[in-house]
This record gives sequence, structure tokens and C-alpha cells, in this order.
Amino acid sequence: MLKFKSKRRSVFRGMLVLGLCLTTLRSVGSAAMENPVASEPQETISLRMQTLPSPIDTGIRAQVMRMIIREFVAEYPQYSLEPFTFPAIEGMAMDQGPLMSIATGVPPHGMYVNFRMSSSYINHGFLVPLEILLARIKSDNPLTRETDERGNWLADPTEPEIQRALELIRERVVQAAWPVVYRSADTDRAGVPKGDHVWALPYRHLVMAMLYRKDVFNEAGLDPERPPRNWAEFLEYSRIIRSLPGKHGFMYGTGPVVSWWTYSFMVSNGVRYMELDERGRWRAAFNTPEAAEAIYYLLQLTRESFETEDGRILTGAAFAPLGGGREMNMRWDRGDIGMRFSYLSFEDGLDINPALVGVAPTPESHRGGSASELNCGMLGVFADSPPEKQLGVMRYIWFLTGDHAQEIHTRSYVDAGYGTFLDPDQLERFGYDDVLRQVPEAWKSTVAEAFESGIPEPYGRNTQMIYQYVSDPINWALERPELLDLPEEEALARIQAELNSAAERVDRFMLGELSDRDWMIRRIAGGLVLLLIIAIFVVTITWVWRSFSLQEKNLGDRPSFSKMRYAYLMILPGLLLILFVSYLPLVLGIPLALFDYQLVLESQFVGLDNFATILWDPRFWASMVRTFYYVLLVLGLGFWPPILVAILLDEVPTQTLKYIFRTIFYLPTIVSGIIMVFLWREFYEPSESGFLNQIIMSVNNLGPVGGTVLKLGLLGCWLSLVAFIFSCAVKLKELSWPVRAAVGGFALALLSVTLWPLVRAYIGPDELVITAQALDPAKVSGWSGLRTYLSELIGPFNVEPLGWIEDPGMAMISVVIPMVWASAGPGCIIYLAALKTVPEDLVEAATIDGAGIIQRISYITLPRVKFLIMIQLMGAAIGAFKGGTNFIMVMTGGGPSGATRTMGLDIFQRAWMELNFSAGAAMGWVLGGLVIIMTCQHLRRMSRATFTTAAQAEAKNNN
Amino acid sequence: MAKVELKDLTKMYDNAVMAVDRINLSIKDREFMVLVGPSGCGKSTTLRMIAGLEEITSGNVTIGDRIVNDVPPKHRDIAMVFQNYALYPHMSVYDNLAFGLKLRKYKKPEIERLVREAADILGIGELLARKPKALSGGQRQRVAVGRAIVRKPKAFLFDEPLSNLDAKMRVQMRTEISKLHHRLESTMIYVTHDQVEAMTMGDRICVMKDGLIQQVDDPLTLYDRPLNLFVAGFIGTPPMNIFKGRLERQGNTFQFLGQNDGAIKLALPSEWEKSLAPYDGKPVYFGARPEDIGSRQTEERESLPVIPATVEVVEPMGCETYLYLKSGEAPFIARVESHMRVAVGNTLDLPVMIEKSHLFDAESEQLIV
Repeated sequence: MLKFKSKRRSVFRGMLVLGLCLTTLRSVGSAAMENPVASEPQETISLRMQTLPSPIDTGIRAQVMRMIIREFVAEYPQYSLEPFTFPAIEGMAMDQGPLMSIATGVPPHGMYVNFRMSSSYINHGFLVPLEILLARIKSDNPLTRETDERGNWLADPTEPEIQRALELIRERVVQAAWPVVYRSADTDRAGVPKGDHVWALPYRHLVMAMLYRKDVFNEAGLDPERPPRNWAEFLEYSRIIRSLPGKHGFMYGTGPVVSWWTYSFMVSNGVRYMELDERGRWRAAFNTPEAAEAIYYLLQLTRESFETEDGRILTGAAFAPLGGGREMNMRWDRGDIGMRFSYLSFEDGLDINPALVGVAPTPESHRGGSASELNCGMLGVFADSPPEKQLGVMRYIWFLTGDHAQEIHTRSYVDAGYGTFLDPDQLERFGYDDVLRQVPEAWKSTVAEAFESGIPEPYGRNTQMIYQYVSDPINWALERPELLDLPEEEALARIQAELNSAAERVDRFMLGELSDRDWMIRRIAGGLVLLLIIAIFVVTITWVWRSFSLQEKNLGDRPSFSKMRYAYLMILPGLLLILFVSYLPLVLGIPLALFDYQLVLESQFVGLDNFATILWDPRFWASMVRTFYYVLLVLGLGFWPPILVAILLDEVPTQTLKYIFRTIFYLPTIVSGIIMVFLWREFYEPSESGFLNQIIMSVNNLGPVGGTVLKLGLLGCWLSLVAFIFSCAVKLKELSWPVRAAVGGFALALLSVTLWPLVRAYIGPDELVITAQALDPAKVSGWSGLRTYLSELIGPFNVEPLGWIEDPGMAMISVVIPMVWASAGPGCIIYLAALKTVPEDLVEAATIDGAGIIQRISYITLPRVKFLIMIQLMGAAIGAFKGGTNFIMVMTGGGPSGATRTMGLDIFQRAWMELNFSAGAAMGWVLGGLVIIMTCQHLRRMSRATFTTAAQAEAKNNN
Repeated sequence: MAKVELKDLTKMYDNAVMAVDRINLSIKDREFMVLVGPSGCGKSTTLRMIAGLEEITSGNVTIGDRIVNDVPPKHRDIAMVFQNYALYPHMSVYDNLAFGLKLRKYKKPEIERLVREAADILGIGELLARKPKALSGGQRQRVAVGRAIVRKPKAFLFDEPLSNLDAKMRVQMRTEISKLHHRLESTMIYVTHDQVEAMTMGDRICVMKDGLIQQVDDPLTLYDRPLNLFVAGFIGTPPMNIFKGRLERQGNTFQFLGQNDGAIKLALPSEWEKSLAPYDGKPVYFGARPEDIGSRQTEERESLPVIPATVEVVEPMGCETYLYLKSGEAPFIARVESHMRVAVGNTLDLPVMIEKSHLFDAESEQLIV
């Protein structure tokens, strides 16, 4: 049932992605037909807008939006609005879609901007100062709205006009969001407007509030009308709820997103993740004692043991699964969770049953602080849009945030019965006093407070990365419940130390200022690397060229040009296509690494800076190491199964069975890649209800005897596998020594993986645990530690749900497994074909000579296909170095915490998420240098290959 | 060394084709047994069942004193030489020879000694370092044989080993294998479709057809007394001439009348009378070898019956001449002295050595006399 359901979901998602792609194509098409020159007023100007409702959306929000759009078009008939869509990529939400569209030349004219991305958009010159545009609209001078032939404004609005526009905008922006909306760019790149400006206008407000289930409160004997108001009460309530069977007081997601889920605790205690320093630069601000306190509180909430009223000892009052998401929503809907934090947006009209769910402000911290988090959806005007479109988008934004649209909005929601959770101010303004009276007081005060003094989501430079950096120390603490055994001051000090080192990393990443001498050294190193890469390219390419031309000579006379005239003519179209599609972009991309490439602004030549930067960037080295790890995994796990499968298939005795097995193994190929990814993502659901976790955890039910038997059995299987691989390396003397060394190395790796836990047990737990729990080091390490560890082999299983792709330690292998699974079947076909060329009588001769199945395979079959295996191995290695990017991208998007960010993905992220195309190109150079050596060797080998069919091979063998 | 015994050996394939049909054959220790027959007669299948490469449907194969039906090939202690040599292409000649010994865990010096020995026997000592690709056909066949003898097995199996060689090489290898047999004094079972190979090499020959054994005998018996029409036609080049006709009593002797009465009329010896009696008036085949027609012994000529015939083709072979003749509608071949001057179109009366000829029952095709 579970499987079936998930499959259907994946199919649906797959179709959705396809649909999005088609929609994009449509927008591309319509963009191409646009008239780029300033047009007459009577002509319709089409504005490509993000955030317009999708045509198939029939929800109330979409309906209201459509109503507003109709009103807008009625008032400004010269405009038509066109939705902008772009395929979404897993883990990156809507951030990078517009970036890609900008790079490909079909940007939206009206851009969606959130707090997190705002800085990056501003610094790359994507956004136009809105107060100036508004001033043009409002100006008495019509020339400020006209342009010349080349698209330059004929006149600019006067300073008082701009000031007036600014005041108008100020009235529409809530106090708390103003610092985000009106600020200066934090870059000195040429082309970015200097000084303070309004970059985008909020049209949707999200306030962090506490939701609580009144039914759960009743069940636990708590007063549903009196939600917890501070941390102490919150902890107490959570524990009371936790003592009910199967219920938790609170829930949040852990892993790389934990800092987002716990932001409210942080801000309540006065913590900001980032702050501007005196020089106007963004700095990490989360390494404060307040942050340590908040984390400590979280630890108490999640990991501390407590005694219930009826005397049971329970651990942790909060439910904190890895990643969060679906499982959490399911539990919330089921009523297994008492309280949660959630963004509430009054623009959406809350779909909450007030009898069931209560809304309250987030609780006050121990320090007595309380702050609501505020987030906004904003709209800005894309800077490269034609002037008349800029004006159009501004008019739309102004209309959308204006009274008329707000009235339509309020009226529609009230009419639809969703009025209770609208902005109380608006209800009052448009005369819905009766509705206003029904609005819960707590909600009213929460909204008022959030608008007045809410803490905006981090919005400084490079903030895309801030959540990941802050998550590290939080996760560190949550993984160490033994901190609670320490005296509180010491625990806080240790958390503080982690916070400090994380903050140091953030500062290093965000403000990398260097002395001239350092730059010099780095540039020289970058230059050397570039030279090395160029040398590698030149040497290897000439090498391949020579080996090919050598062969041509051996082939004898070359046919004269006139004879081959038509042949050349016929390959011309294909040749041109390859040149244009493959090689032209390649050649054009090469100089990218030497520029500071900008999408909108002027690109500048920066020489070797990009190489210098990446060489000193730990992330670059990390992703390079990860790439090697990935290649090793792909080859170690994925390369031999097709060979094994092919050999096994070849050994299947009867023809019918052969067909059956071949079909079974080949069938997965017809599952499209994207569907396979979603299928496996469902399998990998990290909660207890995840498909794979259910399977793995089913061993917990085995009981002590069954558990022991299975444990020892599995250990036995594993050890004999390792032993088998070892014996292969030792015994198969026929194989060449590099192959034997590789097999032996593989076995050694497996062995060390096996022995590592024993070493860990011998070393014992780390110092923190020993100090916190006042353990005797002699008892938990050395031989007694080892003994304790080994004694766990006896007794029932106690398997926890695994994190799979959400767990940084497992993510890479979890990504590789589906690839292996998917490629074993199709991959074996080519080997199967090769095995068919092994003459039957060779096998028979070996049988009579005394070879068993293993010897026959290793001495007769494998040597026959050795050449193919080598070719395939090199191809696979090259493919693994370059590839897997798209697959990893959809599977994990490079996460969690960059654990699956290989070089290919790093290049993608730098280019599209951080708009650092040039650093991406420089990394591309390095990757290319790594790959080209292997590629050339591969080509050379291929050039020497002669391909024969089974029949030819047979004939050759006969002669 | 061992005897090989086949008892009611049967092979039936999935599609219900009877490849080998309950054959019984006893191969003595140190005997050179040749299985011969046209393609599809089941000789290779029989050999492969002995080797263990083919499953046995029913019946027994005994090697030495042991029934080996369920013994895997490697434990049957046999060696086999394949038609395509089946040399391991990626191994040197030395390794090809040593492979079986290595798998049987012989010590290194022992392997070295045995390989050298085998190589010396076959004269391939110079080639040990080469790969099979660098060898000629004859050399490859020697290596294949060497791989078989190096292990000193109980029995050698040859599956048409010479059919891929050119004619000259084939003759040479033929004698070498014969010599090898005398030298090794081991049991050898040799499958071929070439009756010349069978005649020249075999101690005994087993002629097979359609999965059945037709006759097992030493080469000369097989030649002189073929037990049925098939063997008569299969053994010997050019093959025995067969005339269709019937028997007719003439006093106390019988007379063979060719099909279109009149053209061929042969009086048969009176001592055959007893065995011919049941066939009076019945259709029979008359068989005479080409060398028994147009005999050289002139003194006997007068007493012999003759076949009148017209010469169609003359093939001088040097030491003798083949005449392709036609008597009425019946074509036949005669082997005559080369000095006999004949021209195409001549009409001759050819004497038949009637004592050496045979009569076969037309219905069962079995030998009558």
C-alpha cells in the first residue's frame, strides 16, 4: 500500500515538473515575440510577473489575486500580466529559478524578493530603486515617463518628488520590515545604485506564532484558553503533554534546517544571527551567551529526562525528527503534538478551526524577552526590463499594495468566511467591525507586535548560507544530551565555544579581507594552477591526436579529397551542429574564469582572482574531496554489479529462464530518472514511517534470541564477504597485479570500516561524556570498553530510524545506492553481449581441465571481457567525476550541510545560487584538468579497439 | 588407463529429438576407438556424454570401473581435444598446458617437468612462450593435444580435431596422433566424419547413423563385410556401387536382375544358395566395390559375370583410373589399371568379382551375403 501510494505521488510530481518545463517554454516563446522598442500607449505591454496565481489554481488566494488583477487591468488597459514560472529544483525553493531565467535572457519583469535573497539581488544590480519609479509615476513632468530611442529616460524626477514618493512608500511598509526594504547595497560594484533606496515592496506578511491544539490541552488537563507564556511554562506544558501516550509537547525539525526551526527561541532571547558592524559589514552575531542559553533550553526541551506525575521517567518532551516536513504535519494533524511554531500570513486568511487550534505569541524567554519573527514576500522591478515595463510593474506593485486592492482582498476573505485572521487594521479600516470583534486578542497583539518590533528573517549579505552555519552548533549540542549532566555554566561554556567557532567560520566566509601580500601569494598560486591545467590540456590532447593520426597512417592511403567530396558534404551538418552546440559554448565559457561575470552589470576582468579565491576556499577543497569520495563510491559500489549480474545471467541454465531474468533486470530502465529519484526520496523518508526505515526497524521485533541470531548471522555474512574479496585478491594469480591490488585495497577498506567501531570502543567515549557523566575512563575505554561494545552483539536489535539523505554522514552513499540500483540492469546488457563472444568450447575445455565455476569465470570469462571492463571502468570514472550532478541535484540539492556537494554541484551552486559564475568557471577548469587525463587515456584505448561481433570472434578463433 | 563402457546410453533433447538412442559400446583399455558417421548421427553427442559436457538422459557411462554419470567432468580424469582447439587465447602456450595442472594443485617444478615433457613429445618446445594467436593451425592443434596429454588422463577424447586443418597438415597430424597412441598406450576415443581418418587411425571403428550404432569392427572387417547398406556406402572412397534389382532362381543358383531387366544380369555363386533362398523373387541391393569391377586378374575373367556399360567420365589418378559408367539407368564407378585405354563413349563388358560382392535386403537394408 505504502509503496503504491508513494509511486503515484512520484508520478504526479514528475508530471508537475514536466508541466512547469512546458510553461517555461511558453514564456520563452512569448518573450521572443516581444517588441523591444518603446511602444505606443495603445499597444498592450505584457508584464512577466512572478507570484501570479497559476491558471489551474482554484484556491481562494488565487481567486482573490485574479480579482485584483482584473481590477488592475481595467484601470490600466495598456498592460497585460503574464505569469512567470520556472522549474523548481529540490532544496532551493524558488530562489534560483529567476536567476536561471535572467541568465538565459527571459527574466521576469516583476521579481519576487524575500528577505534572505534581497541582499544578493541588490548587490548584483537586479533591482531598481522603487521610490524613483514611483516618483516618475506621480511626477507632474510627463517627460520623466518617456524614453528616447535608446531607452534612456528623457527626464528624471526632482528631489522633492522622490522624497514624496518615499513618504508614500513608508506609509505602506510596516515598521519592522522597513530596515529591510529601505537600505543601501553592501557592495561597491559599479552600476549598483549608491545610497539608501527602496528595493522591493512587501505584499505578504508572515508572522511567527505559536499554534496549540486545544483538544490536546484538554486531554492533558491544561487550560486551552491559557497557552504557555514563557519558556518555563512552555517546558512544563510540553512535559505534561509528553506524559500522555504517544504525544509530544512540541516539534521542530533538526539537521541543516534546525536553525530555521528554532529561530523563534533565538530571537526571543535577543539573539540575531547577523548584524551590521560599525563599518557597515554583515557579521555573525549568534555567538552570544543568549544563544547558548537558547540552545541549552532546546536541549532541555528535547533531550532532558523528567519524571511524570505518575512516576515514570521520560526523555525529551519535544519531537525532533531529522529534516521535519511531512511526518511532522501528519503528527500535528493527528493530534499527537501539543504546540508548534508556524508562520501565519493574514493575506492568506487562516484555515484554522478556532475550536481546535489556538493561536498565541511565541513564549517569552527566561530573560523576559519576547519577539515575533517577521518575514515578508516582496515584489521588486527587474533592472534590465525595458523602461515602460518597469513603470508597468511599479504600477502593478503600487496597485497591489494600495487601498483598492486591499479592500478587494479584505472583502473577498471576509465574504468567504476567512475574515477572522485578516490584518486587524485592515478589518477596521474597511469597516468590518463585527469580524474584528471575533479576532482573538492574542492574535491581534501578536500581529501588532510583529509589525512594530518583529525581528526580520536574516537578510544581510550571503545570508543564504547563514542557516547552515548556525545549524552546526545547534546540532552539535542536540547530539550531546550528556551536556545536561554538566553543571549549567560549564554546559553553556561548551556550547558557547562551538558557537564561537561557527561564528568565526561565518565571518571568514563573509568578510574575507586580505592584505596585498596575501593576494599576491594567492594569485601566483592561482596562476601556477592555471598553467598546470593548460599544460595538461595541451599535452594530453596532442598525445591523443598523435595516437589517432598514427593509426590513420597505418590504414594506408588516404582517399583523395575529390573522391570523398560527397562524404565531407554529408558530415558537414552534423559537424556544424556539434561545433555550435557543444564546442562554441565551451570556448566562450573559457574566459569566464578570468572575469567577474555579471548578469546585469558590466563584467570586469579580474585576472587570476577567481583561481586565487577558490584555492583558498575550504569549500572548494571539501567538494573536491567529496568528488573523489563520490567517484570511489560509484565505482566501488556501482561498477561491478552489472558485471556480476551479467555473469550470473549468462550462467542461467535454460533459455526461458534467461529471458525472464534478463527482462527483470532490464525493466527498471524504463522508469524515467526523475521518477526514480522521487521514488527513492519516498523510500528514504527519515521518519519511522519511511519505507526503508520500516523495513530496517522491523528487526527490532525479533526479540533477544532472534535478534542475536540475526546479528551474528549478518556479521558472519559480512565477514565472509570481506574474506572472499581478500581471497580473490590473493588467489587469482592470473589477474594482473594492479587489478589484484585494487581488489585487495577494496577488501582492506571494507575491513577497516569493520574494525573502526572496535577502535572507537577501545578509545572510549569523548571527554565530554566522561566528564558530564562522571564516568571512570578505565571502565568505558580500553579492553572493558571493547567488551561492553562486543556484548551488544547479544540481545535484541535496537535500531533507530536512519536519516538516509537527510543525514550528512549517510547522504552520499544514499545518493549512490539508487544510481547503482538503476544502472545495474541496463549496464549488464553490454557485458552480457560481450560474454556471448566467449566461445562455448573454451568454457568446456576449462571445465574438463578442472575449473570450477569461480575459476572458469576468473580465468576464462573475465579475461575475455577484460578489455571491455577497462574501457567501461574509465568511462565510468570520467562519468562519475563530471556527472551525477543532475541526479544529486534532484535527490538532495547538494545537502544536507553540503554533504553531497560534489564539484559539479558546487559549480552549479556558485553560479546559480550565489551568482558567482566566474568562480564556478574556474572550478570547471580544475575539474576539466582532472578529467581530461583520464578521458584521453580512454580515447586512446578506444582508438585501438576493434569491435567484432560474436560471429566474427568465432570465425577469428577458428583460423 | 581404462576401459570405457556405454550401456543403453541415450540422449534426448528438449524438443524430443533422439540424438543418441540406447547405444551399447565397449571400448577396451588402450584401444583407439573411432566414432564415425555423417553429421547429426550422434557421435559428438556420445563423446560429449562421455566427457560429461552433455547430460545423460538415460543409460550409463563407465570409465574404468566407475559409473561416471553424475561425476563432473573434472573428476572423470579424461582429456579432450576440440575441433576449434579451444586454446585459452590470453595465456601463453606454457600456461595453456599448465592450466589443468595448476587447477589440480600440482607443485611448480612438477608442472614444469610435465609441460616440458609433453611439449617435447609434440615438438612444440620452442613455442612455449608464445600466445596462441601467433601459432599456425597445425601448431595450435599440437598445443591442444599437448594440453590433453600433459595430465596423463585415463582416456583421451578427440572431437574432430583435424577438420580445421588443410589436407596436407591433416595427413601429417593423423600419423602423429597414431604414433602418440602407440607411445602413450592409452584409451582414445576419436570422433570424425571422415572415413579415411577412421580407417587409418582406428583400432576399431564404430559407425553411427541417426543415433544408432550401425557396426563396430576393425577397419578391414568393416571394409570387407559391411553389415548393412549404410556402412557399405559410407566406408571406402569411391563408395561401394549399389545396384537395385531382384533375385531370381535359376536352377540351384540365383541370379541378380538389375532394375530395368536385361541390362544387368549376374549369376550368383551356388554356395550362396542357402542364404538367398528366402529372398526368391524379392527386391534386393547388389553391392560391389569399384576395385572389384573390371578386375585385373585376366585368367579369371572368363568365368566372371559381366556388366555391360557405357563410359561417361574417365578420371586417371596415376596409379589407377576411375571410370564413371552407366549400365542402363544405373550409374557406377569402376577402378581399373591405369594402362587400360578407355575413351568416353566406349561400351565395355566389365567383369565383376562376384565372390567379393554383397547382397542386401532391400527392405531392412541388412547384409544377406
